[in-house]
Amino acid sequence: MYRVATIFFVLCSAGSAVALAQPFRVQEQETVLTIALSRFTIQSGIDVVFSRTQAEKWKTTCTYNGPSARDALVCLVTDLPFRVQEISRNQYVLIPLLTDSRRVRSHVLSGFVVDATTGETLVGAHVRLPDMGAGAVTNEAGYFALPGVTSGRRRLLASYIGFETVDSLITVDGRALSLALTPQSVTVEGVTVESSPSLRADLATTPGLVSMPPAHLRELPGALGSNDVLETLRWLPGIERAGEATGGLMIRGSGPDQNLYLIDGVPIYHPWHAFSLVSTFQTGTFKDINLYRGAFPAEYGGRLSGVLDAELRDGGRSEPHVQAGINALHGRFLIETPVTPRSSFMLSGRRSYIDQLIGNRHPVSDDAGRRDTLRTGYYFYDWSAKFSYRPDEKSSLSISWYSGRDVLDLRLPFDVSLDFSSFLRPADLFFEVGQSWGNRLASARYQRLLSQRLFLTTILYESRYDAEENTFIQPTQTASVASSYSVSVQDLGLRSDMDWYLSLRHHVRFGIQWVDRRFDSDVEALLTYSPGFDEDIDEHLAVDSAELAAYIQDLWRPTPRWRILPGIRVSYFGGGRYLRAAPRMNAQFVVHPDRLSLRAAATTQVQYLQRIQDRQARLYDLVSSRWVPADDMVPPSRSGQLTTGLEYQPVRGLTLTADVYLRRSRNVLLPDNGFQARDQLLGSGIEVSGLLAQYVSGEERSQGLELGLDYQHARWRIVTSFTRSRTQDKPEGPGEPPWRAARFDTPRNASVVAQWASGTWLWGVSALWRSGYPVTEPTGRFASTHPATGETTLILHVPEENNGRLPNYFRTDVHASYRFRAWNADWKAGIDIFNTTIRRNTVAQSFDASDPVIAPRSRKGLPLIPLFEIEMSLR
Amino acid sequence: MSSHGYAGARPLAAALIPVMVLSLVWSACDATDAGSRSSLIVEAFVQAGPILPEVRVRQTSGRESGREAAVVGLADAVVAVRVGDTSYAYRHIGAGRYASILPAKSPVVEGDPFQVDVERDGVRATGSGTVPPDIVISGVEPIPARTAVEAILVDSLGLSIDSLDVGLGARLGFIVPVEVQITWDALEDTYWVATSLDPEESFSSSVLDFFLLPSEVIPEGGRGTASWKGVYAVPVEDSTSSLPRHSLLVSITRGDAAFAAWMNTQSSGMASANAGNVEGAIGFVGGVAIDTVQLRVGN
Repeated sequence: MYRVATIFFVLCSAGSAVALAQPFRVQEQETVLTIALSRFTIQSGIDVVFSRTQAEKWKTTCTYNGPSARDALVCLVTDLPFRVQEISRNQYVLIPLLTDSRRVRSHVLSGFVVDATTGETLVGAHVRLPDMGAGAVTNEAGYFALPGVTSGRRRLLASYIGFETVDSLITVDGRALSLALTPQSVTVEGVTVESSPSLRADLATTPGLVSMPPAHLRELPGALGSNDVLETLRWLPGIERAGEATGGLMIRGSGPDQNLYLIDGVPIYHPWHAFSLVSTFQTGTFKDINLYRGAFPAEYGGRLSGVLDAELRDGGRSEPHVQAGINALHGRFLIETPVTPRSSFMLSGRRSYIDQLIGNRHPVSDDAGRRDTLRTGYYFYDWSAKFSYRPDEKSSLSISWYSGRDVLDLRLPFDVSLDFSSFLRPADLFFEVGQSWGNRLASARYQRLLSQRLFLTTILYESRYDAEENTFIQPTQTASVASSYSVSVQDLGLRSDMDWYLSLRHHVRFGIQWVDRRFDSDVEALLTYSPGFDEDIDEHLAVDSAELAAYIQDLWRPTPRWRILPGIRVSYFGGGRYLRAAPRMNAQFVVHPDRLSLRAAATTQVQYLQRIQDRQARLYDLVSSRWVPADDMVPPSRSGQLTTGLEYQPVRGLTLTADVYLRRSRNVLLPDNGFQARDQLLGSGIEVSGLLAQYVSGEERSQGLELGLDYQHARWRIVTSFTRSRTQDKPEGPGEPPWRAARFDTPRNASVVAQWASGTWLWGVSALWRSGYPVTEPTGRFASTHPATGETTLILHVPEENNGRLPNYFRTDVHASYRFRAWNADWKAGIDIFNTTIRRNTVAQSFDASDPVIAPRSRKGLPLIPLFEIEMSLR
Repeated sequence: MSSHGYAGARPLAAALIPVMVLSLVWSACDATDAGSRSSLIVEAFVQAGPILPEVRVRQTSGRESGREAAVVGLADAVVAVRVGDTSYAYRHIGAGRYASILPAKSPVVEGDPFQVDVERDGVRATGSGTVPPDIVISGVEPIPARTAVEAILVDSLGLSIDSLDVGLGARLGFIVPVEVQITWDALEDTYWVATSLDPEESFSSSVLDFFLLPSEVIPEGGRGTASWKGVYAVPVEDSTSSLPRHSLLVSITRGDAAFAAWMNTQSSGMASANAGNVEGAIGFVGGVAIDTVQLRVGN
């Protein structure tokens, strides 16, 4: 509702008659209409009656020098929704055209936003009409739509993090726009370019989203020099790794299995290589990465804590591009090329190469002529490919494929050491370990602009994770164990999402998702104690389950400052026949588009899959991720989260964020007797009922405060974060112990990255400090007597789990890179020095009851490690 | 945007600040506490027969205390045992062991209910159970390997990615493995048995023990003749050494599920605050049936 205030400007002066006799001169450039009219009345003595509320929304550009006051006024309102009516000789009124619907035509202002250099569509770009206080955000296809925009000239702002904001005057006539954003600071004809002053929160697709373009992430350091999305995200508040350089991603204290990872909308179950040292998310292969910390909208589901949604690059549409790099861990390449004017292709690959340096197989012999072949093979690889085809302006088809795998193949004598001369010989007693795990995704996505208001996206996909662990151990000449273990989960899914641009205030998104999952597990083992005495197990388990989910959400902008995203997701899970509804609400209030925004969210989530492992077996379940679906024995987990925060930009280049959150989860599986060690060769097998005996159903609660600072000015960039949080859990039910620190509870976590960049050099230092992880410490020990033999055994007394902590963790890394051009290519050479202070952090502790005094046996972290990288880019 | 927008947001921002301060305070509490209070340990394995069971009363010792402190028992506990309808007062007989002051009025027999009460320093602990049927080893058959075999002797298989710790510290030695089969008459499948092969000369390697089978806790299975096979090893000098003559204690103990859980606690080497089946203390009070056979093996 608008308040219309009509103001009369009566300027009577002795010189008015003189003014009438003189020509009217108007020269305005992008002037607010109220100001221009005031100036006109003062200079001319003409009374102009107009609605200030209506007029202050518009800017005018006009040059007039002539005798007619009417013409001067008509010039001032050209292309604006007003008409000029003369009331008397010296009095005019501006009538808003909105009151005369026959004269006003409204259009859907729509179009695509693309990267000017590559032609890639930009997901999550923000398009605004500041004069109307309206805005839209591009979807996965880079499409936006703003219905109900009246015809005429409008000022349009298009912005995207890492790109220059386009500030342009456009003519709204119903035709679709193509907005090209450039990452460089250049000026193109007709478009004014400025560095983006807008708040990230204001640019986010939805409230609560952390949107980080790969170009930004690429410059942040990763541990051990890895160019890795999940590693660089750890510099953001509330995000950390579950280990020193390995371990899954933890968002706000959650378990690593409570996060959903998506590549082109397809879930990936175990996005890690090299024992979680590096992830499958190679920064350079993605064009867009979105991270939701807890409060994710209804279009996502299936996990409790966070969502990482990454979009593979489409392939350059303008010119071929080749990039290659090599560092201490792996070599990689990326090829992008247009295929036809309407299609493009991207192919990227990565492989570790240390096995090629030291060799996989080592034929050995001894003085007696015995021969053997030792094996020391380990490698991992990734392949990503995407073909994008755009048959016409209204539709696009893309086919994505990803395959990644780790392979470990060892055959070594037991007395292996770094003294190669001692282990490169035939041995009777040895162990063989063959482990392999990987993911494979394939998807086809079809997007169709059904009308300017309706955009359909449909994805058909298959996602498979599988792992094998084969072990053969010969510890004596008469005893041995051979085991073969495998797990897999395979998704066949179909999802369809519809964007409905209902009005300027409502962007409705709804969809349906169906997925059929198959879980397989096998274990075979033969345990030979002596030549005539062995035992074996042979078990197979296959489970099928289907999940059907539907959601609807509405990005509602009641005023230009408010963005509210209510939504609900309803899902049905076949295993156990669970029907769950998960409502959510996100809200954001932009106090000042360049300065301050506030946000809040209340969300609920459901997770039907839980990851468990045999915590007793020493032979298998060592590197595999085993997922079990909800069923009658395992109810789905539920969580609710409240979060609120703000983003404040006091000066250009400095962004401060602060968030608080509170989360509560139920029906999560917690290890029963968390101090249980793997003390059996073969555990309880693969039957879920047996494994569940090692777990209890529990509750989790987390709360925390997250502070972040991002400062970019001139050659400097500083990113810091500080998190104060608690995550606790407890088994459900009466009589259970009280809340205790969760496995990765980290009350304090602080990090800083400081970078200085010139045209060619980039220097950086990063530091990470956090509380040590909880550890279960014995408070003492006692003796127990065997009833038959009378032997006394010493037993550690651990009254409760996670009752102690490791020492605080601290590490500093240094990195530097130099860019240069040679052989018609762009080069970047870099060095990362991990743990420059050579601090030996304690990463684990164990205790032994038979020690003279019960003292922790500490396992230390990685020492100083220098790593080199060189990258070549050819365009 | 006008300054009016800022002014309107001040109440919202003002509301956020106390929320954040509260969150900071709330999340500041770190509840981890290893603690140091000692706990009472009570063990009583009640068998059928004319002699009333011993009760062992100990307490947990602190981390800084030596091993001996954990073994030393408590002498100042008040212990009483009731079998059926008869109660017996106990007295300390040394090293934390308590025995009945008077002999049993009648022998403890299968199915007798019993209760053990311990009070010490204001802490009361109670455990109860019933006496299971006797168990009798009907056969023991040791089968030594013909020759000594090479074996790896290693304390840990821990490999660490984080610390680049690839050395296993393994060494080679020689052992003679001995396979032993025990047979007995099994009862209902509600019982569990703990088997054990204890050679006179001890041999221990935490890793190699996985590939031998000197003891096990298993469900007894259905009624009929049951057997269990285990393997232990005796270390020898070299590959030409023969198995030295040694004594071997073979034992089998029958108990209920709580007994099996307590035996697993013994083998795991770690016990939580509520380990065992004794209310008010850590430990086990239950009925067991035990049979042992001592034999000479080798040469």
